[in-house]
Amino acid sequence: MKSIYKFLLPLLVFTAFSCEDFLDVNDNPNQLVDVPSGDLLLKGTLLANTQLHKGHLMRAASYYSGGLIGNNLVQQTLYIYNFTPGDSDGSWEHLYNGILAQNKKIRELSPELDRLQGIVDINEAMALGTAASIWGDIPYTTAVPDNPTLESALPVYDAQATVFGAVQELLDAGIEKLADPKTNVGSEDIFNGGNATKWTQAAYTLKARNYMLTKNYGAALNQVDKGISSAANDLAYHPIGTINENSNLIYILANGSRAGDMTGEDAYLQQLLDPANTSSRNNAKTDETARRNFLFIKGDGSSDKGIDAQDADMPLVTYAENTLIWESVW
Amino acid sequence: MGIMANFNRNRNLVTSPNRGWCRQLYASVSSVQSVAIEGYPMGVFFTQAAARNEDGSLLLNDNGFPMVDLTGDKVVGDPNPDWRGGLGFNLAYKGLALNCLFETSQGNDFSERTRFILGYFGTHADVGNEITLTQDLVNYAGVTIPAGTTVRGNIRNFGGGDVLLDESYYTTVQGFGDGVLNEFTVADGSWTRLRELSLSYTLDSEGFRKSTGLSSIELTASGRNLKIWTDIVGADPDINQFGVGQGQGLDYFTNPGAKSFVFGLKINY
Repeated sequence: MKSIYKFLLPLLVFTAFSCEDFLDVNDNPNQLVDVPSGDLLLKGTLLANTQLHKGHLMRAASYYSGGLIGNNLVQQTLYIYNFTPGDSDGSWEHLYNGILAQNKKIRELSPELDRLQGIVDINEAMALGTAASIWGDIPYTTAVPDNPTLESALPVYDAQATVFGAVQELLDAGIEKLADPKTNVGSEDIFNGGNATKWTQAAYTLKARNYMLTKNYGAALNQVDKGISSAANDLAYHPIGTINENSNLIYILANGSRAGDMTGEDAYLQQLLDPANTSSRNNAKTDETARRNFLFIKGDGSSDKGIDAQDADMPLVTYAENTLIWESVW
Repeated sequence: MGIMANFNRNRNLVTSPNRGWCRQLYASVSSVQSVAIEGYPMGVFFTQAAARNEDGSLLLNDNGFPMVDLTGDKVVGDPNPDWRGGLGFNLAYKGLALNCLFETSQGNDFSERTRFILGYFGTHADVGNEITLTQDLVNYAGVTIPAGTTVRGNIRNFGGGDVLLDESYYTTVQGFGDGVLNEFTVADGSWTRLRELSLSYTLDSEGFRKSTGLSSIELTASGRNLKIWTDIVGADPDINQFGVGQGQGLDYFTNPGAKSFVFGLKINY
């Protein structure tokens, strides 16, 4: 009988003092389960916007506007205008998954971070305006429903004009939040380092851009004096340029796996800026050689300077655009 | 002597794919997709089609060549066979036994992406044909090649008269990604193959047993996948790029079924 107690007693002691929880060992420390603060998602939404504006769409635009010639494979297919709906899939992923879904989360998590919320509004407006101008009617108001379930209705398309209206409202909201922000985002803002003045100026230039797209020229002109006031205030993605993944997106394409599939050699843009070419638009008083060299994309994998340098800034909203809008409407 | 045969057919229709109206059936990127799409059988091919007129004929450009339909992906083929079957027999005569099995799959579409890409690179044998033209022909670039010229390529009629498929064709409408004539990868992938053939001989006569002290010796020679009959050139249509799963009928540098020979010697004490 005693021997049974000898056995049972320690068991009883162990049972009484054992842990209720298993020291959280069932949580995978390597998996993100919850984001504590919205500003941690800011880089993601800014990078998605960079991909949207400076990725596939910009490449296709370069082929159609004479900046580049596609020689081989997918780049050649784009160059001969075989742009299929599938070619927009990536851009829609960046817009809806990368920007809208993340922004929704950022707004839920940290509504009190006014500087963050202002930046998020302006970033979203930039992407939406581009999307509406390229694809026309797009889903927006129902794109990221509050309670997404498997059975939820598919998003519906909003009219292009409705989206452009929403863009202006978002920009106004962003400008208001940045008027006197009480909180900081610091290094999470990889475009402007949290500088409210720069973001506000970019918002006004974006307002002008979208009024131009909707032919509201008077309203566009009213924005530009509050728009980007100097090249130093340009809104741009600043690639670090130390490894492929943090480099200029043209660099990655033209010097990476697609090297040789495209070239700027003899592209129309190069002809326009070449004084020796019959298509030259050079003014006798100016020398555009430096501009021509800067814009030249060699495309064979050997470029190390100019617009496709590994750490070359990729402008999104610029002083030049602001000035051009002013010049063209004035 | 024994004969065995089997026959099966599977008819299916997707009525409501999970989440949305179309769903890719494997987690990978492919220009030609095998999808579940409402109103079609499971696994149909979904990709860039050739543009067509209302009567279904190919919409051709000024040079008589087809164009890519840029309005969106279309269903361009069905990898489900109309039927599959097998036929086998075995013969035994004295110590000899012969076993033989044929299998067939009829009416299944097959996406020959390997041929399509290698055609782009000019390394698939059928784009290396040398032909001497008997009439003036226009190539994809719109250049007229005069009769009597020997060129490398093929002649084809898309519905607007014979045209010359040469490098300018294969390096423009064939290739990687979207925006090429991926519909043209799809062909009738019906096949019949000699799945197994084996011959064995057993030595177990009374005299043999007494003289060797063994109860029997059996010699066998067998072969698997010895021969396939199919219209597909250069690839085995009885494979699938994405292995076992719901997506099917896609070929992209996929290994064929291995042909094997097995010889056996069985000694029973």
